[in-house]
Amino acid sequence: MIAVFKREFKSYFNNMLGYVVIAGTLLLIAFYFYSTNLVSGQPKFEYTLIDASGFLFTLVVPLLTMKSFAEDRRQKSDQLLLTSPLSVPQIVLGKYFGTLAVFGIAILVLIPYPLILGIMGKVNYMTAYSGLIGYFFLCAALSAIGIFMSSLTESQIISALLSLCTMLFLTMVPMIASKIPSSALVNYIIFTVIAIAIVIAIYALTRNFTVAAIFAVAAEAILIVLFRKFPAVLENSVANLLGHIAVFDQMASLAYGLFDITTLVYYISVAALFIFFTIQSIEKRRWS
Amino acid sequence: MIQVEHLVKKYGENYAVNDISFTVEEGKVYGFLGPNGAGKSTAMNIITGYIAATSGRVLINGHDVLEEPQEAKRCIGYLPELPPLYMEMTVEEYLTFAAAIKNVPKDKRKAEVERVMQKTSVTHMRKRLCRNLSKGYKQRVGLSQALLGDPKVIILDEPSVGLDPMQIIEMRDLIRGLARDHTVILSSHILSQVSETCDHILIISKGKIVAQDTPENLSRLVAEYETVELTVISDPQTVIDVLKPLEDLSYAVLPLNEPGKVRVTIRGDKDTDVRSIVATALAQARIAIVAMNTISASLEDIFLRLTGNTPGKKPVAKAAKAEEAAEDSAEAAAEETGSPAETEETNEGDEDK
Repeated sequence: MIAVFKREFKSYFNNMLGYVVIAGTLLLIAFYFYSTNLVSGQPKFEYTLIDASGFLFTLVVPLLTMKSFAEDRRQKSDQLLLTSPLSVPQIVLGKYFGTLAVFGIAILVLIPYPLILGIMGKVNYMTAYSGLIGYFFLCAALSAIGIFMSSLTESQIISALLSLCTMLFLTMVPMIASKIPSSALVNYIIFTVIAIAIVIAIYALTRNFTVAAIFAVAAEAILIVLFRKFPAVLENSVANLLGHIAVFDQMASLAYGLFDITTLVYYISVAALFIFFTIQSIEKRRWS
Repeated sequence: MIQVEHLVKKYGENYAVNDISFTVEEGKVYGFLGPNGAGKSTAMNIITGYIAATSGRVLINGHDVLEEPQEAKRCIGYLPELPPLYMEMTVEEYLTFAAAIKNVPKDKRKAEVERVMQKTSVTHMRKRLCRNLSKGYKQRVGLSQALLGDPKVIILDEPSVGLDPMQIIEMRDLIRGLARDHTVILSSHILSQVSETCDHILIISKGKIVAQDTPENLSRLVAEYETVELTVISDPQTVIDVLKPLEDLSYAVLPLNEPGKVRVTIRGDKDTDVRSIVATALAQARIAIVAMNTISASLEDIFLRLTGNTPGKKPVAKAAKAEEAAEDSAEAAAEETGSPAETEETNEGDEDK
C-alpha cells in the first residue's frame, strides 16, 4: 500500500498537474485572503476558507482525481496492480492517500496565514486552525467522491466532468434546499421521482427486472403510506435531506463555532463511503 | 502446479471462454494457440486473477485465485498483452515499484531489479522513461516485471507481438531459459513460435480447447494425407486430361508465370504412393517433370483444421471442384492450392477486422 501511495503521489509531480493544483489552490486562497482579510480588515481566516471553498473545490477536485483510476485502466497498468498480491482495498487506499497528500501540501503552506493576521491584530487561532483542519477533511471527503467517479470510466475527461457536475451540485445544494416548498405533496412527488431514478439505475446496473420491480413497489408503498398517514414526516423532508448532503455548509459550522468533532466524523464518513463504493466499482468490473 | 477446472466466462450472451479445463505440471512450457479472439487472453486474465470467471475455478499451487488471491498471485508473474507500464516512470523506478507491490523485501529490491534487468538485457535503458521506449523494449520491461520476485509460474500473453525477427529469436531463447526453473504458460497465434518453445500445446478455438498434446503427437494426428507439388512443362488442360483418370487423387492445376510451365498440387491417402503414380502417368503422356517435392503435414494444418479455418479440406474434397478452379482463373486456383502459411495470414486479416 505504501508503494502505491508513493507512486501515486510522485506521479502528480512528474507532469504539471500537481504543481498546477497546488499553485491554483494557493493563488485562489491568496486572492480571497487579500480581499476578505487584508482589505476589509477581517481577522477571521476561516471566512476566507469558506468563501473560497465552493469555487476552489469545484476546480481542484476534478483535476486532482480525474486520472486516478481512469488513466490506469486506459494504460492497462491496472493489470499490474490487480494481478499483484495487493488487495483491492490496499490499492484504492494507496491511491486515495497519494491524491490527498498533494492537497495536504497546499494546506501546509496555508498554516502561516493566521499568524500573519496575528501580527496585525487579535486573531482567534482556535477557530482559524480548526477551519484549516476542517478544510483538509472536506477535501478528503470530496476527493473520495472524485476517485469514485474516476473508477467508473476509462476516460479522464468523463471522469473530470462527472466530478465537476457533482461538485457543482454540492455547492448549489443549500440554494436548492431553500427553494423547495415544504408541503407534503411536493415532497412526495420529489421522492417519487428520486425513487424512479434509483429503480432505473438498479435495472441498468444489475439487468435484474425482479429486483428493480420489487424496489419500485416497496419504495412507492412506503411513500404512499407516509403521505396518507404521516404527512408531517414528508413536510420539508427534501430540504432536510439536502441539508445533510450540504458538505460545504458543514464546513461553515465547523469554522464558526469551536472545534466540532461531528463535522469531522461526517467528512470521514463521506470519504469512507465513497472509498467503499470505489472498491465495489473495481470489484464489479472484474466480474462483469 | 496449476489446475483449471471448467472455466466459463460469459460476456452478455457470448462465451469468451467456454468450459476450459487443464492441468499444468511443474517445469514445463505450455502454449495456448488459437486465432485472435479465441479466448486466450481472457483465459490468462482469469488465471492471473485480473478478472473473475463466470463459473469454474483456478487453483495455483493449491490456492484458489478468488478465495486466497494473495497466496495465489504471489506464485505468478504475468506479462499481459500490453505491457502494464507506467509511462511517466523510468525503467528502474517502475521495476522498483513493481518489486515493492510484489512483496520483495526492501533490502533485496535493488538486487532483484538488477537481476531481472540483466536477464532481459534492459540494464542500459534503466534511466529512460517507459514512454520513450520502443515496442520491443517495452515488451522486455514488461517481461522483467513478470520475473520480479522469482515466481514459480510465468504467464506471458503474446510475448513476441510487435518484435522484430531478431528480438523474436532472443525472446524465444529467453523463454527457453526460463523454463529451466519456472513453469511457463505463453499464448500466441503464431504457430511456429509455439511449436519451437513449448512442451505442450493447447489449441483454443471459440473459447474451447479443441486439442492438447505435445507438438509431436499433434503433428502425427494430422498426417492422413500425402501432398505432392510438381512443376511440369505443359499446358493446364493437357495435365488435367492426364490426371482425370487417376482415382483417389485430388489435384489443383495452376499455370505459372513462366510460359509453358504448370504447377500441380496433388493430394492422396497416406497409403498411396502419390509420387510414383503421378510420375508414371505424366511420363506416359510425355510431359516433363522439372520439379517434385512432398509437402509433409505440418502443425499449421492441424491448427487450421481444428480452429475451423479449413483450407486443407477443400482440395481433398472432389477432383471436379479442383478442376473447376483450374479452369476458372489462376487466382481461384492459387487460393485453392495456397500454402497453409499464406492461408493463415489471410485468416488473420479477417479476424482483425
